[in-house]
Amino acid sequence: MSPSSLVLLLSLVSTWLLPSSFALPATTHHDSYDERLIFRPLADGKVSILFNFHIKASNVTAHHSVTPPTLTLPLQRNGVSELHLSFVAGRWQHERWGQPIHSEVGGTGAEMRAWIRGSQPEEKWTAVTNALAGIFCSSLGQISPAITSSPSNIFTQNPANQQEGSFLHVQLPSETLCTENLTPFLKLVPCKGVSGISGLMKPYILLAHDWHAMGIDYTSNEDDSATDLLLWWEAVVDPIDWQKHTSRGNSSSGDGFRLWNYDSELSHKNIDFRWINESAFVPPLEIAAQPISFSRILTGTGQLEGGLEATIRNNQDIARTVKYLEILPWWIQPWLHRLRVEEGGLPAEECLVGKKYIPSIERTRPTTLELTIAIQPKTTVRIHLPFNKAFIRYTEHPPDASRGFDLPPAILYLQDLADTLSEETSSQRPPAALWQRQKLRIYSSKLLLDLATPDFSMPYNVIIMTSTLLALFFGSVFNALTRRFGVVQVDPLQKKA
Amino acid sequence: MANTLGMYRTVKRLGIPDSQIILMLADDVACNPRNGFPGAIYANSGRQLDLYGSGVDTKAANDEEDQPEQDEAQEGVKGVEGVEVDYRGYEVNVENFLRVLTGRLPPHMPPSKHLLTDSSSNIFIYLTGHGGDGFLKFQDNEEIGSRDLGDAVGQMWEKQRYNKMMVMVDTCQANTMYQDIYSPNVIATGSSQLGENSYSHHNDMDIGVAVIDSFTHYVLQYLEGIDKGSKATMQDFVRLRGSDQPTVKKFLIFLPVFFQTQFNIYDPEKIKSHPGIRKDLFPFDLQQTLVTDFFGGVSHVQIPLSHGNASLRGGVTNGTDIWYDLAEGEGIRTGLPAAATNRGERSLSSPVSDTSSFNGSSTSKAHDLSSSLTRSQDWLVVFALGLLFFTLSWTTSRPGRLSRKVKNE
Repeated sequence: MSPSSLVLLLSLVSTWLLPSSFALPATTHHDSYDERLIFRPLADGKVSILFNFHIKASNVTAHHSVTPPTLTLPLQRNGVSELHLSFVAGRWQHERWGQPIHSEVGGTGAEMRAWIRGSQPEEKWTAVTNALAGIFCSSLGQISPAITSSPSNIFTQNPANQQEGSFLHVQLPSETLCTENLTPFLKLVPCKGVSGISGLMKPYILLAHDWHAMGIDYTSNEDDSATDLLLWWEAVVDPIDWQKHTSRGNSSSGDGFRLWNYDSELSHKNIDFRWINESAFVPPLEIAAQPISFSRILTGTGQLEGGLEATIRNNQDIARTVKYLEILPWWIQPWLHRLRVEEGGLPAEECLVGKKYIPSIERTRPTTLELTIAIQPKTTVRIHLPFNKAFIRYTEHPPDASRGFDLPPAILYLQDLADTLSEETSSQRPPAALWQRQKLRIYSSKLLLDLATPDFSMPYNVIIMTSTLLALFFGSVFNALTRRFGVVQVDPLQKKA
Repeated sequence: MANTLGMYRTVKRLGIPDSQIILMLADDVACNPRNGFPGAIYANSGRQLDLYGSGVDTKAANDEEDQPEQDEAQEGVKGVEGVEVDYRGYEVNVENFLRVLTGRLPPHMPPSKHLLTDSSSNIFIYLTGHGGDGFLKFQDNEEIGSRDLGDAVGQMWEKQRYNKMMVMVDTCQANTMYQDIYSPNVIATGSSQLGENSYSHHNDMDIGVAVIDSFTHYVLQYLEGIDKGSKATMQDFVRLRGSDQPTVKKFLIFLPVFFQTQFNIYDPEKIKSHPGIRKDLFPFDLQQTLVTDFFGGVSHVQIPLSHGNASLRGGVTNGTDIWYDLAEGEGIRTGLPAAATNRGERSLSSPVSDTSSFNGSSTSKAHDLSSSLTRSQDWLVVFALGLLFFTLSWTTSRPGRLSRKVKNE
């Protein structure tokens, strides 16, 4: 994590504690709500903004003063101890932008993971995904066991809230993020998009740019008596465009920037805010490389075979250890014996420190492949994984089958960083705010894979062809069986007449 | 896409909450990278009104000089902000559509994806997309036949899932889509007759697509003129139902101006196709049926003070009243006995209400308020207007496909 990842906390809009007397006088109930808007300038002149709505509630079953019951009730009912849900639209340009501000931002599409207490976690998981699908107007209801996995080495539970339970994880790369997700999001926020920073969350500001993400982080203790809920929305905006958009939003909403009070004399005048000693932004010719860069592409041609090639580069002067995680749908069948790890174009099996592989089961379970890789300073490691594409059933193709199938993003987990962090945590380091935490995971972009697509008019052709042949066959056989062939005596007299 | 969203915005404006609207959109048009106006969908090349989400009259907002006009625009869109799509992407398919109608959804389905209606609900179904003789295409991949729709509605009637239903179809040869409905209390209308195409209203040359279809455009234009309290009846709405009759056509030639002003919704000259209306299954008088029975959520709440004679009354429209009995400190009372004691006074103070049905329901004492509302149908007709939308929209994100000057199906 580069030290230049400067986080500007521009406005701390409102923080309040509901007085305990307001709730139940006898007990000490401290519900708190805190909203923040964080700006971070990116190297290429764009700005990353994070809307953060943090709700802490105790004994939420008694009163929902700040927690949204529509969201928390299904989670409590199904014994969810921790849940992270993120929707991401667009491509995060890791090389130029580094990492997102928020630590739990997933890859493109939807990502959901949960720790569920008690027995029958699969059933509870289905209930939770369906409930969230309804709340967020999303297609999370399509989550099935065939795409759900449990890579518990890569995703760790919140250290402050370790509980026994099952871990489930899913990625839906095709999921989009649009106004229909923003509307229910704003309904969950205590100020409902009417006042505070949520009043600034207009679709034409948030959705107008290359990348935007939304999500929730939820933790609750064992008897659900303390809940911690964080609703966040992060977007990359172009400051020039954004200025234009906010002025539009301001004039239309009327309450956009109530934060600044200026004299009535100044109204109807152009006002400009500047920092002291502010200098103009000069677009950099070269953007400093990230400590670790990670990308993934598809190789191969044809509809039978293909390959995944992941490139990991260590730009630092120290050796790093990372974990490369692929969760592949069952219709991709990787050949593990042909897995190649190269360093600088030469085979380097010694880079591959560890391997964990859970093969897929057709239509029931995805492949989970986890490779632990040691990378020397200033070197590039390439991982090549050939695979076969399965033939899927005619009915399993989506309506737009020729578009291709989305492959979920691969995840790179910075193992060494995680180790040092956990050591520090054990030595009673004060817990950092969520957006200040180290980002341990780098997501690649999602990929679009071409599977063998049948000619969908084929069945009709076959039916027509078969029917024609059958009709011809039946007709001739029927003729042969029922007609009697014989010599007909023609009266020569009649012939003459 | 804009067809459906225009209808969605209109019914929302007329008071139906998102929780009672099932919106199915097969495509993510608004946030598609190819959309030059991210997060926005317009039904007009003038782009005055963003149908997707903000509901803000952007033109007015940008004109800083027209301050009063802008405020007016703001007034008009309160409560219309935001959009909630209940079924999106691949979830929009024939199976799910029929499951929603018939209520045969798998367990765990969230309430927002259910059509939670009963025998006192009015349902409005709006379907648009590519159609043909007796079918409507879903996702460019599968079709729903008119018989499927007819049987689904039949099942809904048997299961008492609706009181009245309106089916509106805007596709090519749309009138064939409702021909196989056989259940009572259904009124159906379509944009074009057999063998006829439905045309789009106009193109937005900046985006390169047709933005809205003619039939829907004129229906929405008409609905824009009414509000929640409107007394406009279905008779006004479908005035030109006989448009396919030759006499009317002749009439049109002679009196075009008259028709332009009077019967402009179902005017085949303007729509460029012959809209149809089917009302043989609909036993109610169209002149007595309000447009808001289908397009609006009108609930007149009357709060009679249970310990006094005074009763606060909302306006009485035929049968859309809901009575809440509020006793001090008790909130809404579910049992009826206390209310029954006040009945006489209340009916006196409100001569318009139907006293006979009051007496009918007061004899059965202790059933709870909601069930009494349902049973006394003489005076309570509409409470929840279940509303179902479906759209087949491979449309706006594929410019080539949408610029359907002529729909080919």
